[in-house]
Amino acid sequence: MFTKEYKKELFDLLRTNAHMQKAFDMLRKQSKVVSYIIIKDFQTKKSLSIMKKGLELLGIKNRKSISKIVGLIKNKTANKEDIKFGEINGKYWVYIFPLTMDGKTYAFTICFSTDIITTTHLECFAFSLKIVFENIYKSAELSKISDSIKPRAIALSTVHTLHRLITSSLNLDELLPRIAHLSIQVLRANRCSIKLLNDSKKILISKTTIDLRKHKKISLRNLPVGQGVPGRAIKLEKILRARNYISIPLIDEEAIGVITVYDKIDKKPFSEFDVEIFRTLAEQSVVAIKNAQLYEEQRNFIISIMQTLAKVLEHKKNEYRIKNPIYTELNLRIGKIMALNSEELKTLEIASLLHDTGQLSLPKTILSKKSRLTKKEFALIKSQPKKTASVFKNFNSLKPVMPILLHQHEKYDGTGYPKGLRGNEIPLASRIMAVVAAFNSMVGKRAYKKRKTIIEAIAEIEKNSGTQFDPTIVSVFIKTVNTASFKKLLGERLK
Amino acid sequence: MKFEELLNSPIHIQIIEFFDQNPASIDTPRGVAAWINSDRETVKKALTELVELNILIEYRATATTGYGYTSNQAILKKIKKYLSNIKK
Repeated sequence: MFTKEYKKELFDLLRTNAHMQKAFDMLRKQSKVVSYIIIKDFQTKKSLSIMKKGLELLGIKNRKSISKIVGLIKNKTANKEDIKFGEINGKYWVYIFPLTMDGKTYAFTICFSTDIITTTHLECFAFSLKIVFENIYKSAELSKISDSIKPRAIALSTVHTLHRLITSSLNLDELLPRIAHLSIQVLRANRCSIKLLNDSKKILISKTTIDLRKHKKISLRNLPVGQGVPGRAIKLEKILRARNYISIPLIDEEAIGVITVYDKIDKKPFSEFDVEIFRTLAEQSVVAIKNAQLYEEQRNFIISIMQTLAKVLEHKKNEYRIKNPIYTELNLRIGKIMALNSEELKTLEIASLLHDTGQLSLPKTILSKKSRLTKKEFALIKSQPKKTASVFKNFNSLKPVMPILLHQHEKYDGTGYPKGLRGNEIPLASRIMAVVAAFNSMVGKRAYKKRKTIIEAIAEIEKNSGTQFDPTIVSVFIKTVNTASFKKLLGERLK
Repeated sequence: MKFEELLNSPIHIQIIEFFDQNPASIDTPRGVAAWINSDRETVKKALTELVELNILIEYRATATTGYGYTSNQAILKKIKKYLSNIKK
């Protein structure tokens, strides 16, 4: 059944349809039809007005005549005949063709003729009208179906895109703000906050809040379960909706947090459709958050294994009086200034912990040798990066670390080893580690040489900037080691 | 591309109209191309230009880029005015 809006569309299509005009033109050629009109009914003011205008075109302007004609048409249409006709004004014959579908009349075509139309021509015209009307009706019905399906199809496509955008990140620090931004986008809201439960499951820790409103101070407020809108949503494990918010608990096997959007940008209330979309987004978010948490746990587990390994290594190096006072910390400080993201910093941290694991395979005599190394011994030293990388090659999650370990002894001018890479061909993390390793080697204890002072070490690195070391990193390094906090830390480590 | 230059670009107008009618939508270039019945490469280029004009917002992930409609009220107002002028 058509709604009022679609009935209007159907009627408009009828009035403007070219085939309708063609059918009428054919009838006009075969008879003495002078004009035709299409009206919805005989009751509404608009229909009566169309009819009066049609009659006026025929020169019938007398009000009484018009009323008489309208009455005649009304009487004729009350009969059950398909085509109704009658004489009007002693001059015209009027023919009324109801346009029906499934027993329901949607409109009437009224033709005015100066003579009687033959039955054959009438039947032909009625048949043409029927075909044209059926096509128009189907077209309007298709348009109605398309109009109701399209928004759902677009919403489905949005859900699919959201899924791809959300599940592509395993980094919680990146994932949570992304979910908040996407929630604001699809809900057309001003604000979104995501809170995750702490280990005791009693406090919601505020993880991210995005607020589009200018000059609004963003507060990351933790909430006890049961307090505030998010606190109640998580306590009840129920979606809470009001005019200006929707709060959805994030539930996997158990509740892990809550996501809340506030204030639509057009100031309208949140609808049931908004809840449906937001619920889907929240369900996708739970999976993505759990995956990221598991990945982080696995990553932390690997880091703790690596830290243990590094301690074992450190212990062995102590036997050879090798000490790297501030290697990992300095790498990370420079990495942060070089704008590495959190993922890249974690990779740099692991690479720093493992950087000289390959030394374990070197004979003690080489590591503690005070005199110049032989060619054979130096070849063994040069094989160390490959050995370090090969020790960890079976750890899939350490894949990003491998190229850093492998190229940590490359030189900026291409004279390093194992591949002789130059400039930006060398991974950025490897270039950072090269500077820091040289500094540590100079200021730390070594069996084969005397320690340099910090000033001497910095001067030596500066001297090799652009040849052995990346000049950009050297300049960041110099700024970093000259900060008071670093000097204090290094002083403590060198004691 | 300047905002005023959009007046001469049917593809940009179609994309803006799509997002104006479906402001909650986030879609890929392929998706938008399907909705406005155009080819992906042309749509992709136009989407990038509309991002530069702050009419659309870009959401990038590893293998997917989604585009959504701006929430900036001033820009939305300007677009409404612009679209109603086109229809006149």
